[in-house]
Amino acid sequence: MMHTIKRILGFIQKKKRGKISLLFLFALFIVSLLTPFIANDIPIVCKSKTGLKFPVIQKLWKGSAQANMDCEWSLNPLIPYSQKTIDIKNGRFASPFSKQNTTSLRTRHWLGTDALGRDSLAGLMYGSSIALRVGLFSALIALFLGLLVGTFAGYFGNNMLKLNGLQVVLVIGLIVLLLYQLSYGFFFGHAYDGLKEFVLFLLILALGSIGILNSASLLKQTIRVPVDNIVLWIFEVYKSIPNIFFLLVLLSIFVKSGVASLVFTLSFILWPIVARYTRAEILKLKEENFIKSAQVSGISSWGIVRSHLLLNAIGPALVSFAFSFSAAILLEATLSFLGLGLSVEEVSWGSMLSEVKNNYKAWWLALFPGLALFLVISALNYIGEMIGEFYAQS
Amino acid sequence: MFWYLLKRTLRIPFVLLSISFVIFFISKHVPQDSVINILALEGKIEQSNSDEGYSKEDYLQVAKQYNYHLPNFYIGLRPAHYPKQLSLLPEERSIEEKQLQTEKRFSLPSIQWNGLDNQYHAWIKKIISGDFGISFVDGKKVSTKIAEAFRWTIVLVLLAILLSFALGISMGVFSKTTKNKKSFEVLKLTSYFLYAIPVFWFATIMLIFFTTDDYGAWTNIFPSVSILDPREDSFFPMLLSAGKILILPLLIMTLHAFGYISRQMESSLTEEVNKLYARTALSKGLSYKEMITKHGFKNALLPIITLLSSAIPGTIAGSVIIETIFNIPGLGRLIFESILVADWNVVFGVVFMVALITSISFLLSDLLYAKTNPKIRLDLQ
Repeated sequence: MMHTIKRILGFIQKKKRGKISLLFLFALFIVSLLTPFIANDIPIVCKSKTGLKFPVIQKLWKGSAQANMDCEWSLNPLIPYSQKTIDIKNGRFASPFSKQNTTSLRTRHWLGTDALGRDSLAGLMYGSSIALRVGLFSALIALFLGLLVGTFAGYFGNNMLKLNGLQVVLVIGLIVLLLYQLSYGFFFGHAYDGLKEFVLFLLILALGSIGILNSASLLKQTIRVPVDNIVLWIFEVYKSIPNIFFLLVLLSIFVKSGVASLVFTLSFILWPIVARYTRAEILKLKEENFIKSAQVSGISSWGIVRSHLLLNAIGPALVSFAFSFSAAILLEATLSFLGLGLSVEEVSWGSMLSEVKNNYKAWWLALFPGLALFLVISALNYIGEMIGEFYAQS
Repeated sequence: MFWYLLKRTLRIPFVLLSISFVIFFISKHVPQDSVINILALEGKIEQSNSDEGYSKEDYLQVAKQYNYHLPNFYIGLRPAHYPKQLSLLPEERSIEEKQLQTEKRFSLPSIQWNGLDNQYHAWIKKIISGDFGISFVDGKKVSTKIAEAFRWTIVLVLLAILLSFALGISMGVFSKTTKNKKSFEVLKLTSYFLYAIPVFWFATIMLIFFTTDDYGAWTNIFPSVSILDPREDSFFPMLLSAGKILILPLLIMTLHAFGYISRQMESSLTEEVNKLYARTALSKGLSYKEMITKHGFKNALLPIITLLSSAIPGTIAGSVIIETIFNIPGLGRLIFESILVADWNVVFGVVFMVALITSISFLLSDLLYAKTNPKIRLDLQ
C-alpha cells in the first residue's frame, strides 16, 4: 500500500502542475495545523513571576486562557490577531492599502479587516483549517461508505447474494432495531443502564427465531437479494435531485449546525460518487481471470472481496476521494456563503465571502478567501485527474 | 426502442415516490413547528395571550385540520408501553414523553399497522391529485408560487444553456483549427478558469468590480443588484423591465457552462482527429481545417448533444446560488427562503419539480444519445 502511494506521488510530481498542487496542499495543511501558533492574540510562551506559561497550548487544551497576564518576557505569534479578535480601531472594513490605525508593521492588517475589525489574514488561516477538516472528514466517510456499498453491489450483483431464512430475519430485525434506536433510543437515549435487559432480549429473539424457523424448515430456503438493483435505485434517486437542493433540505434537520453535522450531511451527499466508481471497477475486475480462478479454487466470497477486490478497487476509489474532497470544500463554502453552513461564530472562507454582501466595496473580503478556495479545489481536482491517469496507464 | 422508452418513463413516478418518502421523513424531523406557522398566518398568535402566544384550542384545531393527529406512516414503531397517541401540544407532549421515559427504562419495540388513515397517505393522495397545499408563509397556493418562480428560472437556464452551447461549440472548433498556438493556449486556460472557478465567488467578484466605478470609469458595466418587484401582473413586461438586471447573472451562468462545453468539445474533437477516418480524409488531400469541419465536427458533436439536456439540472442547481446573490425570484431562491422558515409544502413542491425536470432531462439525453449513435440504438433493440 505504501509502495503504491509512493508511486502515485512520484507520478503526480512528474508534471510541474502536479508538483505545485501537492506542495500547495501540503503547505496549507501545515499552516492549518499551526494556525493557533501563527495567528493569535495571546503569547505562545509567557514568562511571568509565577513561572513559564504556554497560553496558546492552554487555550487549545482547555478552551480558554487567562486574559491579560503580566509577562516579563513573552514570545508572541507572528500575527497578533486570532480570527475572533476584534480590533475596534480598525473596524468597519479597513482596506489592506488604506492607512490603518496601527502602531507597527506587525500589527498591521495585511489583508484588511471586516465590519467588526477582525483580521482577514487570521480568518483566512483559520478558514483553511475548517475547509480542510470538513473536506477531509466528509471525503473519508464518503470513501468508506462508497467502498462498502460499491463493492457489495458490484461483487454480489443481482443473484450472488443468497440469504437463508435466519439471515433474512436477522437483517430485518437489525433494520427494525436501528430505526428504533434512531427514533427512540433503545433506552430512550438517556439511560444506558438497561443494557442487560437488552442483551437478554436479543438472545431470546435470536434463539426464538432460530427455533421457530428450524421447526418450520424455513432455514434451508434461500432468497436471492438483488443488491445491485437496490443500489442502482438509490443512485437514481440521488441523481434526480441536484446536490445543492438535497443538501439544503438535509441541513434543515439540524437545530444548530456545526462542523460535525456538516460533515455528516456532506458525506451523506457525496458517498454515491465513490460508490459508483467502485462498483464500475469491481464489475470490471470480476471478469478478470485471477478472480475467476480464486472463485474456482473455493475461496469464500468474503475472502475474495477482502484480499483481491478491495485492494484493487481502492486505487480508482482514490480518484473519487480526491473529487469528493474538493466537492465537500466547495459545498461547505457555498453553504456558509448562503448563511446555512456553519454557525456564525465559526470563521470559514464562505462566511468571510458572505460578509461582502453587506458592503460591496470591501473587495479584499471576497478576493482572498475565494482565491484560496479556488486554488485548493483546482489542486485537488488536478491530483484526482492525475491519479486517474496513473491507473489508466498501469 | 419503444420498450426501452416505456421502461425508462415508468421509472420516473417511482423515483418521485421514493423522493416523497425521503422528504416526508425529513420534514417530520425538522425542529420548527409548522402548526405555529399556520397559526401566525391566520393571525391567531398574540403576544399577550399567554406564554406561547396562542390558545390551546386554536392549536388543536389547526393541528387536526392539517392531519397532525394521525399517525405518521402506514407502519409505526414505538416502545410497547407508549399510548396510541401523545398529546398534540408541544409542551404537553414533551412532558408526557419525559414521564413515559422515566416510567420504564427499557421497553420492547412494538410494530403497528396504521392502515391508510395516516399523514403520509393523506398528503401523497393530495399531491397525486395535483394539490400541493398552501404556503405557510403567505397562504398562497404552492403551485402558483412555484409557477411564478419557475418562469424566472427557466428563462435564465434556457438562455444560459443555449448561449453557452453556441459559444462553447464554436470555441472548441476554433481552438482546434486555429494555427495560432498562442491563442489556443489562452483559450484553453480561460475555459479552464471559467469552468473551475466557484460560481458564487465569480459572481461576487463580478459584482464587486464591475458594478461600480470605484476602480476606474470603465468598470461600471453592469447594473448593481436590486430587488425585483414581482407584483406586476404579466410576466413579459416585467421580464423586459428587469432585463438589465438579468444580464450579469445570465453572463455568469453562461460563462461557467461555456468553460465546460468548450473543454468537452475540444477533447471530443481531439479524439476524433486521432481516428483512422480522419487520417484517410487527410491523405486524400483535405486540409486539416476541412477535415475537421467536414468529417470530425459531426462525430465530435455527438457526445456534446447528449450533454445538452443533462446540462439542464446542473444549470438549475447553479441557479440556486445565482438567484440568491442577485435577488431573482426564481426556484432556487424560493427553496432557499422556504427552508429557512420551514415552509415544507413549498420545499417539497420545488424538490418535486426539480426532480421531475432532472429525470426527464436524463431520459431525453439518453434518447438523444441513442438517436444519434446507431450502435447504442441497436443495443437497445
